[in-house]
Amino acid sequence: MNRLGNIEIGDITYTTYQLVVVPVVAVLAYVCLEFFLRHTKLGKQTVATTHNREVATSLGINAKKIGYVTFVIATILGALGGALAAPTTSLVPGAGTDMTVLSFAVVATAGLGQITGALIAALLIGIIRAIAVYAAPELEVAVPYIIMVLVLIIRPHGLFTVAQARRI
Amino acid sequence: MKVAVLSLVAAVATLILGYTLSWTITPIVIGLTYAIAALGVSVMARAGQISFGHAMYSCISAYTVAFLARAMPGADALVLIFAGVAASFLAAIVIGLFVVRYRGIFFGMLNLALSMVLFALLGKLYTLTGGSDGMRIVRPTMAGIVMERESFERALLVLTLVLSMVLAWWVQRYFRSGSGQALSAIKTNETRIEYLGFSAYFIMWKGYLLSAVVVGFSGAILALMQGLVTPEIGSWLRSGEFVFITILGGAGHAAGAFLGAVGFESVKLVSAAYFPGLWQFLLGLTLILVIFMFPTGFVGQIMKRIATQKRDRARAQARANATLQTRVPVRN
Repeated sequence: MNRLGNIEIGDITYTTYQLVVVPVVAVLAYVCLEFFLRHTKLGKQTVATTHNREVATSLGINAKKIGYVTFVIATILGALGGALAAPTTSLVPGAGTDMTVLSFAVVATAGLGQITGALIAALLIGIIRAIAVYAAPELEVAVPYIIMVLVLIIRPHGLFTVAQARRI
Repeated sequence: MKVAVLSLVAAVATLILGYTLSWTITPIVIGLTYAIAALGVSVMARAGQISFGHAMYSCISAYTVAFLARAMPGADALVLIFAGVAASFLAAIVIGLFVVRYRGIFFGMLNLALSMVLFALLGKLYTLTGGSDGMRIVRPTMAGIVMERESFERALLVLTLVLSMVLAWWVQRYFRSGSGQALSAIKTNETRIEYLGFSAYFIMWKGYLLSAVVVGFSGAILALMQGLVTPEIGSWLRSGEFVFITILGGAGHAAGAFLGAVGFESVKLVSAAYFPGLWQFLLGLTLILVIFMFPTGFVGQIMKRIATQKRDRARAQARANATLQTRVPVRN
């Protein structure tokens, strides 16, 4: 069996898995998702439904089916994340709940429905949290939430949300 | 009126149960603290805003009780409870100022974020708070009387029952008041309520303060009952349980929080006793079933039943009137 081995940058040793495999798969998943939403019929219908469910339905889109498809995609992506994280973290039955809460924090930081935004926000929060482990270990658990609070104070609907008109 | 009588009967029954089987006092009081906390969460649920961090206020209140009991060894239990509630009220005034601008996931997550920061601080400031070991509270006097453990717990049971009824009455009264109606209008259509001349910000802030005070009561009582406060009181798991109970009971009426807590605690107690390895599984299963069968909670289901009964009765009455009218000319 072949081993992936390690990569050394400066004095720090990283495993190839963490430095290459995980980011490549993540970017691949992102590209696939964007392609699906922008260039396939089902994806375009999904975007239309999120913009205005009523208008989309009146144009003949089956909004219920779209909801179902979206849920399945979300499940697949969640499972992919878990599978990728599994070799580098310890597995416990409660691991999912912590991940759920953190993901919500990332999504709220980025703004609802912002896929590219979520990718950037996740990186931002992950890296700052890693720095916090060195700089202020007492606050490591709270760091993602502190970032979220700071972001939401400045931009109430998340970092990447475009302002929308209020509907009466 | 009916609800008031039923709650009084339930409270008396609980009291008799507590006095005859003294082991039930601890689960009953702790269950009631959950109910009171869910009552607070249901106030915000009225506005369609689910907070995933309200355990923060129960935690602030509980730690205030612990700090005050340590600083002033002679302080009475009632004084401690009052101080705890006052502390969570003051905290809510400040936190509420910026939290109530947000809606939906942002509101829920901001509350969760602040509760997580508090949780981390309580765990890490070891010299001040005792870290994750928490702080012990020496049993205080109750209304000036020095009590042994058993009589203290009984007194606490009576106090908690009275407080539950008063708080439920207060919240229900708020729901019926102008501010309460405006709060539910935020869920229906916020822009319209602003066009009517109300300030959505101020309405939300008022509701938020009420919910924090109610949750504060729950934290103070929990602290006195356990005689120990730990950061766990403020963890997001606890907030999640409050939300769980609110959904189970329904936010349509103040009684929902109590019905939800009874359901939650009994499922937890029974499954922990008979299926110790599976209690979380059973709890999850119950929630799924309840959401499928009664999407608006226990209270929503009951209200729907009552509405259908009323409608049926009105229809029967109308039909009776109609037959009467057709008969009248025949008789003349």
